[in-house]
Amino acid sequence: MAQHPTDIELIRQVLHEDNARAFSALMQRYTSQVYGVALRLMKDEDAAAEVAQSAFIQAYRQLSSWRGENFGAWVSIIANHIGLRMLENEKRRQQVPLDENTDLPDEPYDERKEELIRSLEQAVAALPEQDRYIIEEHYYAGVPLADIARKTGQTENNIKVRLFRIRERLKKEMKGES
Amino acid sequence: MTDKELYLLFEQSARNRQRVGQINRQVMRTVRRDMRLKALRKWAKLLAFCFGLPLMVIAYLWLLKEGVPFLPKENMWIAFIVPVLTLLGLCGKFLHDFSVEDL
Repeated sequence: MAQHPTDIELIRQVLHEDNARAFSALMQRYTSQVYGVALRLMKDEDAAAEVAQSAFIQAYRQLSSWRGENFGAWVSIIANHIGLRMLENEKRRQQVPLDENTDLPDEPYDERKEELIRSLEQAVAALPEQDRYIIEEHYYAGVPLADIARKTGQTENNIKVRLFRIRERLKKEMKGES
Repeated sequence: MTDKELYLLFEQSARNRQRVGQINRQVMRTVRRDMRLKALRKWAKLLAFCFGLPLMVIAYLWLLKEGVPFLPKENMWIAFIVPVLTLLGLCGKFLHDFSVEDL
């Protein structure tokens, strides 16, 4: 089985070989973490995405100043700085009376819900491979049960029963965690 | 937790994944653009090094050849010394900053 390259190896590839794929692989590992940090700070999905994006771009441009610490934590610190600066600017802007163009978040940030989502994702990641496949296909990719049944060579009823069991397992695990 | 609540969590989690995917794509677009620019700068530097310096020397010699007959004799040394010093300075700086790794 091929071994996954470490963060240091990937960073070396970006710095010395200008390997865009290496940076992409690095990002795949930490985007959720950095986005989570940004979301907790900004409490708004659009603003958090903007902060996470800026943080990764800044990290890429300053990669040569990375000193070997945890890459995710390093980018999270950058995201924190960017987020705080954005909030500061926003605060200053809001000292001017609100006008019609002021953006307000559509849905208020709910820390408990975010926590639940995180524990759900952890529980899904810990599922056996086949169960995880069914969940990924049905809930994340929106594939109908009949298609999943065809792909896995099982009956639709079988998949339904299996899905029910997986859901119960997930609920139990999430309850245990909370 | 009810099935409906779990379903809503799945929905939100899928949305988060989409968001994360969007962030990745946007960042990678910028990273690739930066890399292209960096490569372009390297080539420009290489071209300047290979052709720019000889071109400057040729241009200087040509100007000298064309200009010498019109210069008063007492100012002749300026025509030699100043451009030579400038050129040497430029070459020195260029060689100092030059790195094979940049190529």
